[in-house]
Amino acid sequence: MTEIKLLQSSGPILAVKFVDSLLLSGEGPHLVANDVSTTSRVFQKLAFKKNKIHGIAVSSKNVVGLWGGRSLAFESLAGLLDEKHAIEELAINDWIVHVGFSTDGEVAYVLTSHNLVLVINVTTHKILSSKSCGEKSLLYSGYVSVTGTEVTVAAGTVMSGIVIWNLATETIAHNLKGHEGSIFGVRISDDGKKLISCSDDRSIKLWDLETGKNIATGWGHGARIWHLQFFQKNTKILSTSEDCTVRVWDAESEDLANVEVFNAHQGKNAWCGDVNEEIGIIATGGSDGRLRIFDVQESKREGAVIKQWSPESVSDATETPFTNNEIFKEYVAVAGGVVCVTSEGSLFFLNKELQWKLLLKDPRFAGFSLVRSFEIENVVVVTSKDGTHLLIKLAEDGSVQEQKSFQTEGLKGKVTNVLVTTDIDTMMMVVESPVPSDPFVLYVFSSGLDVKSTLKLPKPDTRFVSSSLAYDVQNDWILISSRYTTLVMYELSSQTLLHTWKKFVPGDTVSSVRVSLSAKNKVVFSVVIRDGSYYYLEVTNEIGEIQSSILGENRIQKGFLEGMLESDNGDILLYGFRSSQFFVWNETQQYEVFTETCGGPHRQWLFKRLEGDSFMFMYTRASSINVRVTGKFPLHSRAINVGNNGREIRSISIQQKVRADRTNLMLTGSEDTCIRLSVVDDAKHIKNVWSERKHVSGIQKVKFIDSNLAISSAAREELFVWSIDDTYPKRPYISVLATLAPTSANPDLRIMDFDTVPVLEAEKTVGYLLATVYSDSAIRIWYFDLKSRSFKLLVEDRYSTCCLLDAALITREAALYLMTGATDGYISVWNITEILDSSLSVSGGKCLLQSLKTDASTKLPECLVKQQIHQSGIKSVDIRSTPEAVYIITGGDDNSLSLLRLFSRNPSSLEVLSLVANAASSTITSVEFIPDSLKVFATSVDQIIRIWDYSVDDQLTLEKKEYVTVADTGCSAVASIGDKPIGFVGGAGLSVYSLEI
Amino acid sequence: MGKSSKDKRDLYYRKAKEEGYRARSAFKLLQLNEQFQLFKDVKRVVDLCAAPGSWSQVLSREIFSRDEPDAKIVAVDLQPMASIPNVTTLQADITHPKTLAKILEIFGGEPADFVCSDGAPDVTGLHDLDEYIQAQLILCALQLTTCILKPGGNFVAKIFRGRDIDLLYSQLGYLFDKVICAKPRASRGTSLESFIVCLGYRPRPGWTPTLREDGSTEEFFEGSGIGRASLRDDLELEEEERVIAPFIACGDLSAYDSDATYTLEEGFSSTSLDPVQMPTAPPYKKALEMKRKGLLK
Ligand SMILES: C[S@@+](CC[C@H](N)C(=O)[O-])C[C@H]1O[C@@H](n2cnc3c(N)ncnc32)[C@H](O)[C@@H]1O
Repeated sequence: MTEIKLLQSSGPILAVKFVDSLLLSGEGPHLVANDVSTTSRVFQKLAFKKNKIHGIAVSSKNVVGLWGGRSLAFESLAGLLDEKHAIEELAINDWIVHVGFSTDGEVAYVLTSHNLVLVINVTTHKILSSKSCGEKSLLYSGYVSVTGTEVTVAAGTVMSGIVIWNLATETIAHNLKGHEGSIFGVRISDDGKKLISCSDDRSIKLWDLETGKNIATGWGHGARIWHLQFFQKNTKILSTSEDCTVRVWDAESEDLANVEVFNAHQGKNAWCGDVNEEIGIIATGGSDGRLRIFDVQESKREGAVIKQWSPESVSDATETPFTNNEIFKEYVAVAGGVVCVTSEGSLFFLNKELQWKLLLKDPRFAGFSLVRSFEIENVVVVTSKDGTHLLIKLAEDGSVQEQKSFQTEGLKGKVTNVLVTTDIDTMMMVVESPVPSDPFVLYVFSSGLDVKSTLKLPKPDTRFVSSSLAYDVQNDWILISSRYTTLVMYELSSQTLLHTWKKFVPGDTVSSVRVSLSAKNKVVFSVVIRDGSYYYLEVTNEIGEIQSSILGENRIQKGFLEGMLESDNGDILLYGFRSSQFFVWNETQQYEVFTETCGGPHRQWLFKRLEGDSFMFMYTRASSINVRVTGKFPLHSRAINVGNNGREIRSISIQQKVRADRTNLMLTGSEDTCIRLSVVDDAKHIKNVWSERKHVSGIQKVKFIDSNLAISSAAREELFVWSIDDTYPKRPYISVLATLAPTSANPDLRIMDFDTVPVLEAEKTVGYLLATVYSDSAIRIWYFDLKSRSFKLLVEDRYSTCCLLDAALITREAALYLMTGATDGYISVWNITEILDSSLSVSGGKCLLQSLKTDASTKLPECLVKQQIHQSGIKSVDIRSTPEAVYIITGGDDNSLSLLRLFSRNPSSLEVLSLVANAASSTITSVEFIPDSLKVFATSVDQIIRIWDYSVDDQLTLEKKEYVTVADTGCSAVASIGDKPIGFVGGAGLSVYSLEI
Repeated sequence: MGKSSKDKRDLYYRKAKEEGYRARSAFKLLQLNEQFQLFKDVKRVVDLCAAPGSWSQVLSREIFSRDEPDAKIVAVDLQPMASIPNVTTLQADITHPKTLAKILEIFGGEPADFVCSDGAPDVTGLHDLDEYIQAQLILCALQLTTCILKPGGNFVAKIFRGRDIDLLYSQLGYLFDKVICAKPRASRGTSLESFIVCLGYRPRPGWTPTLREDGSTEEFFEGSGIGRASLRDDLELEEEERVIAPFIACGDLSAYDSDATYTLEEGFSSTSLDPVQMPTAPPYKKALEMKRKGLLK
């Protein structure tokens, strides 16, 4: 028996609701409960067969009401918590907009999108009555408010504002007009006195329900607002929006001041939210399948700090007179707190109890000084312009335990920078002057603050202004970064310059270098560039020569980067500035974890990760020192579900090769222009590792072409070859190996599809033949050379004027064919063996490199086959080669599926073996042969996946179909993982199925 | 992308401007007509969700060129529409029961020969909600159709082939001789848009469609026996009937492909044409203005 079993799914979250510390969320048709106090999942239950959960309400008797589409359920919380208990799906005959409960919890008021209320007994599920105000036009939103025995309905219409009516009398109390466009959200305060609403006009309006007057209007969201709710005794309003932000508004201010903005979701749409006032958190759900938590009471958490000190207040607290113009200069972190130097050379210490203390005052450091610290050793070093250094070791209580002074001699220039780094028992400091002939002077200190060694490292022969330092103990390599994206590496013991990377990537200043991984003769450095990009640079010395390659690279969407950290669970955290904000971004999981509006990057600042992923950010603003510590709170700004792409997934590719830890790599491309590399584990959980932002337009296709190579294509003729390095257990890395240059300036030209065939020389893959097909009907065939990473155009031609949709290269024994599918429904095949002959030859089903032609490209020969298979566009094609013939499966925009055969009898005929006209009730977007079977997996926009069998007389017969919750179902991938075919289905979400055939 | 670059590349858009149509949609109706001879003997038409009005333009040119004495075209939309010769325009919400009553009133009790609706709501991105609203637009159009269309007349409406489209096919099958899902080449293959072409209206025996100003669409179709979900006393979920309608692609294969990228040289002069119909003001116009002035944070 063929079965299709759902293993995992993620998709838009449309409803969230707190019941104490239990957070209920509607994830597609599933009801999920997470306990936020432990951040663990309590249950996941199927609520509805097909419909998604759009709303959740809880009665006074702890009965949970769920609704979505015309489906409905009432379940006691106890029942839900019982593992064996299944949710009973009920239904009415119309779309449900909202469900309210009576005060005693006995009856539910179900509001339909035709402004009708069904009064239903919660226990017996009997309809008691049906109520209406006589106005039955369509609603986009609505709310049933119950205060005592009074039931009021707020109905958000398409064109006629908000209709407020009384359930008992079925009479209209108010018709609130003032919004433009359809009303997308309404809520009544729990005292029944006020109403908030939002519409297509992107504003929030607060109304007085007694008078029907608009009290205030708030603006701020950059797109439509979907959800609103009151909290904190109706003094605050929560809103979630299409612009992905979640905002808090002051309901008591004149024009609804926007007091907080959270960047909550990715791509598009923060759909829903709820507030837990007891814990002080907001939960939100979005299109990206994420469940986010925001701390709205951060200042009350254990260890949380928000504080500010002016120079006067520090002067008062330490009883140290400040001179008139004395200001805070630099500050650095030490184990016990922070050390700050003033413009007069005073050193202050701020301990963890937030008490200030004067350490010392040294006039040598008045005016100009540089302060650095060896944090773990609790050591600070202060340097003056003329190279005088003072090393200070602090005791636990912050008193000066020891201090030593020494001088850098022999530099022609003044000291302009000091860089430090620490490793096990090594404190290292590099002193720099701007004079090119001055070497870097490097000191290694003992824990007793003695200079163990002084080394002179010659500067590289290029413009160099140092910015960051990293030391790898294992190989004794020291890497110094500079502006102009230049790096220099030395071997310390021999004081030799090993390698210089001059402008190794585009960009300007390197903000930070760090050792990410280290092995014998091999180090991976992380390199962060201020303009927003970062790289993983692998440096090896395995053949007696320094070699390097970029393993991974990416960039953030907005802002400047100052550095990178790793969180406790190995996630990459990037931090920097974006206009007036400092931010910390979890790059692995793609969400913001911290922001502080500090005025921008041009100021003194200090950022530190504390234990348990708490953060400290300190900065100077208007000459005062500000500090914020997030405190110990596990729910501080996090994602319970990480979700996936924020927009529709358009292409999926699975790396068949199983990795050492029994996981597989997966690539997805989505409308949000991101290429995501993820790891699929044994249970088919998908964990995102990289979200690559190289494309600027929506992805058409992404595909692994080999074990460590992939290609992606998009609109604007973008095509990248990606290299995937999976040699490090920590994480796989992905970087761009090559970029195919656009052939025209037409920004509308899209590369619709591509295919590749490996090209061998001496039994080794040296390159790939790459066929690309375009929206202007162009066809190109390239040779991509692995070594030079370059593309050579071999064939260039045009199909007709219609848009091509599919490309496939088919190798037979001694011939190579190109096949295309197009919007006109035709399949065309060319034998391209001869036209490639002088460049490549085909033998034994393999493509062999001959001598590449260097002259102009050729045209395609006369086509072998041109046959109409579908009435309109061929959306998807898959190919299976057997020794006897080539089988082709195609899925069309015309709802039909066809099985074709090439080469079996007549080499130039395409046989239609089987054609199913109404194979789906909508466009078939993806078809795939299931490995090791005579079956096909088909995905269509009607949200049904089907398995077809063709083992009997090559006739397609439907074997199994299954509903998928992923809407806009647009792509699929079938891979044999652990001997079992696994189907991945993408669209507005991603679902994984085991195909039991 | 600005208007001028768009009109260089979208050939239907350009052709619409050259032929004086307000929208490229005109060609969808023309291609549907080529396939199904929808305009044959048609004099009285209701064009629902008609703004900016290119379908009405097509219909007006077609019908009034024939010099029919009792010809009539009524065009309805939420958005205001500039006047079109021989077309009565009405700015109203077709999901509002009063709107349908008003249209019947304009027709003065006379039947219509053809009802069409190119309606599409502003999508929210909640696919199931968008599909539901789209289905509602079609049902409202169908409501009017059952009240006004002469037996044997035709009905055309825009659909998006989503997960529940087969429910609609099934329901329409009770009311028409033939129900076809048609996709004109002028409609982009990359969009899910297609058109439901319903030929030969067959009133349901024993059911008299009655429009009530205080009735909902659901109530209207109660008793019509077209297989719509009913409200069960015990709230039990019943499955509705589903049918797949045959698919027909229409428009000549040599017609322009709306998914293709064309370069200018291919048959067009490079003079830029002014848009025929200015876009209407969106509800979020004020929000955009405030953003431009830096008033939104
Ligand atoms: C694609 S346009 C129609 C184009 C038109 N056929 C033409 O050729 O110019 C869709 C129209 O549906 C209208 N519409 C959407 N919902 C509506 C409703 N509830 N009542 C009336 N019109 C509606 C929109 O205002 C929009 O103008």
